[in-house]
Amino acid sequence: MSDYIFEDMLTRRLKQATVRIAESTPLGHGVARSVARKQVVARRHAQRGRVRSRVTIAAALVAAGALASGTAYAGITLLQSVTQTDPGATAIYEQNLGVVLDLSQTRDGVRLTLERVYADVNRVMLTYEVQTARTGTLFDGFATPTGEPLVTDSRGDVLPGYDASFQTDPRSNESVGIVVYDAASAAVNTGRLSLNIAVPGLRMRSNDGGTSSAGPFAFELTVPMSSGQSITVGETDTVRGVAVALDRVVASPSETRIYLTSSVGFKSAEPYLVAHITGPGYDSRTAVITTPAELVDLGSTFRAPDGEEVVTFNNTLFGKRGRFTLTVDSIGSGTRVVGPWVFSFVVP
Amino acid sequence: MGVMQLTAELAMSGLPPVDLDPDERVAAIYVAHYRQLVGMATMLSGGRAAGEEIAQETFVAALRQERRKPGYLTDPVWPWLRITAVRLAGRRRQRLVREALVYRLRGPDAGTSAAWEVETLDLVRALRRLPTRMRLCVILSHVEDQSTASIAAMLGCSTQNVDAQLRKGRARLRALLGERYDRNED
Repeated sequence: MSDYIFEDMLTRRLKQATVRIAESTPLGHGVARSVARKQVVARRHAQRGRVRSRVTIAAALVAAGALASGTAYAGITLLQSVTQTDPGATAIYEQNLGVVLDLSQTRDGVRLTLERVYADVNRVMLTYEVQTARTGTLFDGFATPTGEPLVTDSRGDVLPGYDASFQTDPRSNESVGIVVYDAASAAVNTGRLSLNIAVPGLRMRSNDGGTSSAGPFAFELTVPMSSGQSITVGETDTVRGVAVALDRVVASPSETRIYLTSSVGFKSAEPYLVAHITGPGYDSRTAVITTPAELVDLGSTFRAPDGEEVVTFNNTLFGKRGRFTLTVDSIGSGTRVVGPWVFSFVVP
Repeated sequence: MGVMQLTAELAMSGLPPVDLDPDERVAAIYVAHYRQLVGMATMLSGGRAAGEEIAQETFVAALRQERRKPGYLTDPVWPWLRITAVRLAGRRRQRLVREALVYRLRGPDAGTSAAWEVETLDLVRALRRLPTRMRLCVILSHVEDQSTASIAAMLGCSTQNVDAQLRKGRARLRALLGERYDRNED
């Protein structure tokens, strides 16, 4: 067979195979795993009643995927999978900054295990596993108002949660998940964070659609809290009459945050708040969508209790030194207000 | 407006309107293109499990972009989906992770043998034995009908490199599949 004929046949066979694969792909499965899950995330945020709004759901989805690997691959898979959308978390696990807990409690035939925890000045990440001895019953989430365990610090203050996801291994009925909390306001004693984790109940769903609950569970633990760098900036830039002020930058091993205020005021959901940080050997934009000109940041925005708008960058600049530039490209929710507002700050 | 209605309109007039809710807009695009994207991503990655993950991630990226900038996705949307999937498939480390995830969940190639014909399985297995970039070049050229220059732009390499990858890729596939293809030649 000549090269030409082979190439022609190869084209035809490859196209046929592609079509057959597409035809054999269930659409419903895919919808459930991406678009519908996004709706669950959105619903959870609505239930919280918090002002935090996610810019991206990618981290939650990938975290779910990462943890779906279960205990056998936990270390490697979690580490490598979060790389896709959360380089800050990757750095944490590469440096082995998290603490292995392996704390288990069993109630009503269901075992809840806290696998691992990590804490720094920006966030607390907790991974867990749920195993059930009940045949035909699967974990269906935490029976709490927020859909997450209630985590309180030593003062009794509740840590706001902002990411939660889990996935179930259909072969073993084991579920593995991650919950992420805002640690900015947590009470820290000499570099350690004491946490009370309360789970009033685990919602369990049987194959016939029935639901039940297992619990309660309660854990107390103290974890080392990684330090961060806080740089007070206090600069204001005005573009076309709109002033934006950069109050401070807080960089921790898991993420970097900037705290902004504006003369026009930030809305509760800031879909147009787009910002990035660049500096020597660093660019907060880590994901390339189409071309290098379309780099995007991975992170989120939320409203701090004092009213400042906070932007988080998963690609943290923690540990880096030098002069950095923050560029706020646009702000606004109902109306897009285009900048750029540019700030410079030094990390000593 | 329901997704089914949108899907029908999508087939008639391209992308859903820009002023539609970003979630609904991406959902409609998802319905219209997801399976096609899984097919291509499977060929790009050499495995359906990894292909599904790539397709999922592509739509997550689409959703993120639409939510950030409503109307971000423009007609035709397929080139955007394709380049995003290509970039995801090109990240070898992440592909290996995807495969590890699915292996843990379902076992290797679970669900593929029942749904695919032997020839499709052989083809995908042969593709899997190619280096990532070589596989991307072959699929973009033979399945997506992309020019050498276009592939070079997508992969960030020279056209000479693409030509070389295509030559080697075809030769390797011929070595892996040639005998069977000769036997089954029409």
